[in-house]
Amino acid sequence: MKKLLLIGVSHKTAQVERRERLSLSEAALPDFLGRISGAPAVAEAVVLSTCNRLEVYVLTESPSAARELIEKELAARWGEGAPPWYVREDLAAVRHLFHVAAGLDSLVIGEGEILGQVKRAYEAALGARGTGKFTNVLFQRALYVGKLVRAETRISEGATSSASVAVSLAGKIFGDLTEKNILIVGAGKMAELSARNLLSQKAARLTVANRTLDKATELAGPLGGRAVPLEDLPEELLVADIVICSTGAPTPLVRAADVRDIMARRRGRALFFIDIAVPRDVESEVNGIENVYLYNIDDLQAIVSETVGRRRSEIEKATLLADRKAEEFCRCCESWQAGRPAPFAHSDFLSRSSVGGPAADATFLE
Amino acid sequence: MRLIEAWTFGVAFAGYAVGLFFYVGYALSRREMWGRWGRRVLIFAVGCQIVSLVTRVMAARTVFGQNWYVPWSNWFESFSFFAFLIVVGFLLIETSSSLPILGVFVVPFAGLALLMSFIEPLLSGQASIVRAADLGLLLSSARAIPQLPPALQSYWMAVHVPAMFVAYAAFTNAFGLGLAYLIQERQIKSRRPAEFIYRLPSLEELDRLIYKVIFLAFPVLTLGIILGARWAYEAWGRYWGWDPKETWALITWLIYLAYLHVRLAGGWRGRRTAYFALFGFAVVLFTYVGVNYLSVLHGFLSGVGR
Repeated sequence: MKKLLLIGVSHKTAQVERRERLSLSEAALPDFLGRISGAPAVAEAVVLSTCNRLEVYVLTESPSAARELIEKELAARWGEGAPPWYVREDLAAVRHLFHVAAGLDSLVIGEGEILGQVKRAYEAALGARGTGKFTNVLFQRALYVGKLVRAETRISEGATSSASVAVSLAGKIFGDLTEKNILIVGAGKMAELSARNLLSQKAARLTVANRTLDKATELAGPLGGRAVPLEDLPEELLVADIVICSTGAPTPLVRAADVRDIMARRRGRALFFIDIAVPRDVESEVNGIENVYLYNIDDLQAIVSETVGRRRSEIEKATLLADRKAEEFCRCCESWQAGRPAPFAHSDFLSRSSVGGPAADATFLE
Repeated sequence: MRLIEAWTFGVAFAGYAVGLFFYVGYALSRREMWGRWGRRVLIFAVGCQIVSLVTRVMAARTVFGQNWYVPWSNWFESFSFFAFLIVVGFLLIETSSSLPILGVFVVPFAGLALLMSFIEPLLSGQASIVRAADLGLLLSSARAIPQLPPALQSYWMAVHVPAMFVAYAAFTNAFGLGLAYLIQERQIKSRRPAEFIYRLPSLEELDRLIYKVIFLAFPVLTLGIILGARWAYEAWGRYWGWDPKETWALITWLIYLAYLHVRLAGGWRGRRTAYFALFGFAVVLFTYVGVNYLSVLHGFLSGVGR
């Protein structure tokens, strides 16, 4: 009887400084994968490597030999000592994979990136002919469960960083961000992060205003933006839609009286201030002006912690669902190995929602 | 014929309720399916009400021999026709914007209009509800096909009134959107927005939708008033007589004209224009219902004029 074996190291067992050594670059992955799936003890293998985890899933006839091989590979990358790995077998391994796919094992609970990473890991193994009948079904099922858990629970709802909260708020004010002007005041690191986040939403024009023009150019250049001196701020506020402030100025740069004048000349176009500077760059009275919206760093963080709290309260439900799906998977595999293939239970979710699409569940056992 | 009329009306009424139920379900569950079903049910209900209106006209023609019969002359007919147009207007908005969430803000007003359509016998003292059985009596007396008063037996009745109603129904839609805008605006302004803001469309989208609806409804209102003036000339020998209904229709017209003006020329956006949509609707309601108790010439709903 073949066994599913998982050996891995993740952010839960190792600090980032040590984890870094394990992580596989895209170029190094095929080689690593080849060494494992090429071993005679290993029937099928998939390697999941992200910045937070390195996990090796293998189907094997001789678990001890496979385990020895993988541990040797990991130890070689780790350096001195044995890496703090965890080992799971069969149901526990399936459960772990489903949890990972659902974002339950992530640093930020419910984050969506991991689903794509699981998919790429599977596709890489598939491309290298490392997978087989079992891991094909297992990983496709994991992707399905990842989607299912996110659709059925609120585990991945809402934005979990200040920057992404700001982006979603901007979306709720302006709708389409592609035609909007972003003005960044102060060329700090935080400003750059928010700007990148907004630009990934294809916001159109970026302007950076800074006391020293050189620094503004430095930030604006790579992002395809325009650099202006801080003195131009009043004129720039006339055309900007989203303003991100992060200067180190000791007193507010943007005063309510000035904004009132500016709004009178903007013909009612909304203006969204994101003030991430401490001390604040924008007077809080600005929020009282019609069609002007002001969020400072505390507001954004309060929303983030609310979201995180909400996600946390969904963990139990999500875990239960993933566990149930893991058990169901193992039951089906048993019946499958016994020569009486039973289909996976179709979840009611697919018939009710457009999220997954019918393809996700249909053809595992064909 | 009366049976078909009554049944299709009943189904339409139930359909609006079920449609609203689906939209509320959509708002709570975030499942696209609910929104799609809400839309389907509403389309079906609208179809039923069309059948109901047509059979009502046919019944009136055969039973009363009324050649100019149109199904929007008395209290019941007028409100149920109003509800019908609100839903049609909403379906058009929903189709062009694909925002089923707006159903929560608009469809309740269609439901209210339908409920309103039944209460006339209560208002006029012809009926009172003491026992449950009185409800059925109330319904049937409200829904009786009226003899069209001679003043309304005119082809102008077939064009003037629908034009006004189309505009009013559109303004009702704008009112619902204005509510959505103000809720959304207040939430975002509060800096601690509730989660549901992510379910509602963006402020800019709502603002543009309100504008679009009013922009399209305004010419219809203008046309309705002009047709009304033309009818008045034929019926009463003058185009304009400062009858309360005429005066208030003019006030309504001026308010929406002002809305378009401040938006286009004054550069107003956002909250103030949303309040405009709300205020305009309040005036529409008064022009539609309230004025009937003031106007002798237009008192068809209240009985003042008869």
